[in-house]
Amino acid sequence: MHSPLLAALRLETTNHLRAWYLHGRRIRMWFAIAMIAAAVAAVIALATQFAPVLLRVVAPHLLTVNVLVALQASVLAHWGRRKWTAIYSGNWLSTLPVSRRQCARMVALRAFLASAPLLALPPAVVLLARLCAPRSGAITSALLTGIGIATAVGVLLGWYLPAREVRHSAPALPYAAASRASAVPRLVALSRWTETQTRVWLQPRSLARLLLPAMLLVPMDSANVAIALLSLWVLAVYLLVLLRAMVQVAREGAAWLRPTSLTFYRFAWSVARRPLFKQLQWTLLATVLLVALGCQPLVAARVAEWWLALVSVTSGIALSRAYQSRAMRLRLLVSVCAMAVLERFRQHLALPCALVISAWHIREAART
Amino acid sequence: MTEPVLAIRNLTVRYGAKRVLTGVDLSLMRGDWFFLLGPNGSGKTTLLRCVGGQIVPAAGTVNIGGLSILEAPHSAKRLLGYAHPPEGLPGLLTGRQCLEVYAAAHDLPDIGSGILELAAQLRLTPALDQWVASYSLGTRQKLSILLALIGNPALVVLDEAFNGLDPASALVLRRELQQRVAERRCAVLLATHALDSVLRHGTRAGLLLDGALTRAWDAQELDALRTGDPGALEAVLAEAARECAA
Repeated sequence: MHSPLLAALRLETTNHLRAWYLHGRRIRMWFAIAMIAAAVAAVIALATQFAPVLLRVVAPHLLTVNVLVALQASVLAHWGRRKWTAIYSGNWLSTLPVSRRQCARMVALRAFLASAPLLALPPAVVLLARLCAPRSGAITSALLTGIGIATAVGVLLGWYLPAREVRHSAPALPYAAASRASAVPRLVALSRWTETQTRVWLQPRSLARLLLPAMLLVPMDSANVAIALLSLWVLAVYLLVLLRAMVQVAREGAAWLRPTSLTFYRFAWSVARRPLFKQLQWTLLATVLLVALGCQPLVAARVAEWWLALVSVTSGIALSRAYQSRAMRLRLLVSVCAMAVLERFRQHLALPCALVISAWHIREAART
Repeated sequence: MTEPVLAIRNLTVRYGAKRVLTGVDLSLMRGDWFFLLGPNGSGKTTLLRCVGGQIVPAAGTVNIGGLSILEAPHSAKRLLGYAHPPEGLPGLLTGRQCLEVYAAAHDLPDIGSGILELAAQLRLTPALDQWVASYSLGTRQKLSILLALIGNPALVVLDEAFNGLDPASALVLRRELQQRVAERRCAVLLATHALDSVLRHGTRAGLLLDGALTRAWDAQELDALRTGDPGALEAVLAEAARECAA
């Protein structure tokens, strides 16, 4: 047999696929495939609207875009290496007699598999933009070449960047706020949970160390624009991780508090209040940055509107489905598809639609 | 003189600024069944994780069969059987697949009839071809201990290993470990709160308080406790804890 680590991964993957095939009803499987196809269609539909704008924004700043791509690739490689090294030094396989080289290969493989979709995102967006704007051949070719080189450089940089040792302390410790000694019953800890989770995942210190070389690499003649783009990138990463953290906290919090007498409304309000406010606050700032970068105010507002719609629908569905201990992905997919279809017929319907879907889910969860 | 199976010297572990273990020394020979006692949060699991090479200490050494777990982990881990917490086992593998992976890692030609017999005695055989995710806590615990026993390791490390086991299964496992220890095939390091087990099976015991091994009992002292008052060990532990707190 080859590496036992590889064997375990292979067995887990085949078992996962087998479980999905055996336990999911065929009809559900076809439904899921149809939904995924619909989601892809929705993404393409949205891309046709936003692609020309995107190309117009990035065309004058090719080098800065490449720096951003390299930064993203290095962050993904760095985080992946840290995460999987920590996992393989503490999981059920960690005490097996496996050579260091085998372990390092496994960490590299898992880190690559986990970050591949995000690494593939920039070239996919450019390719989509090229399909939607056929006259943009020269600019998209330059972008694709640059992105390819930047990704390779970024991955190498992130992989070999010396990591702060996490082995002597639990990773969450530096980011957890010290709480006051108190005996007052209150749910404020629930609303801060998502932010703490976000900080633990984001590791702001690592991010700051990676941002520094990126800032030095951007061309000096367009420093303001470059800094705005970098800030926009940091904001986008923060908002994405914040949303992901809220889904995680909804799941863990619901599993923990469902057996208590806490009502769903109080649970949902406590968990979602602060993260939603942060989403609103930082999305507004991102909109301002977009406008500063030369994006038309109406287009920037639409991007913000779409993001808030996505946040709203994801939060509502995550909280309600988690409290009912049911799966959320399919509902989310259907909802986003419905929003995209509505948006095609009439603009500015995504956010109201998301709010209605969210409210309906929350009411349903409160009833049960 | 034979090499100790486990030799821990001056082991110190910190979590950030907090010192969790301070200057721990411990040496185990084949035929030792060492019970590690101590209140919650005293550092028992951290000590076991250092032995498993999962935590890198701030100072000190951990040698298994004379091999450093940090400098020669591959060779040292060949002598180690470590029972992972049941919740850490992979849900999407069957019990048999877990055993196969462990057997392959130890370069064994197969899982081994001894382990499969033990699985049968533990009434685990029907569950071996089901996914670990469907196991109860006790069934996971049994699998975890079976994994630790694959390949006849010279050092078996168990953390609260009998929690969640039904009395019959716990008895089977205690007998198996007792036999291995009696035949000097291995040393067992077990962290536990079950004081009756210490008196019944232990050849040595130690009390970990605030990260330091404050008190140790050898075979003679444990024999004396066995023949005397059954509550004596409990009283000694309580007294030691009070002294440490004072």
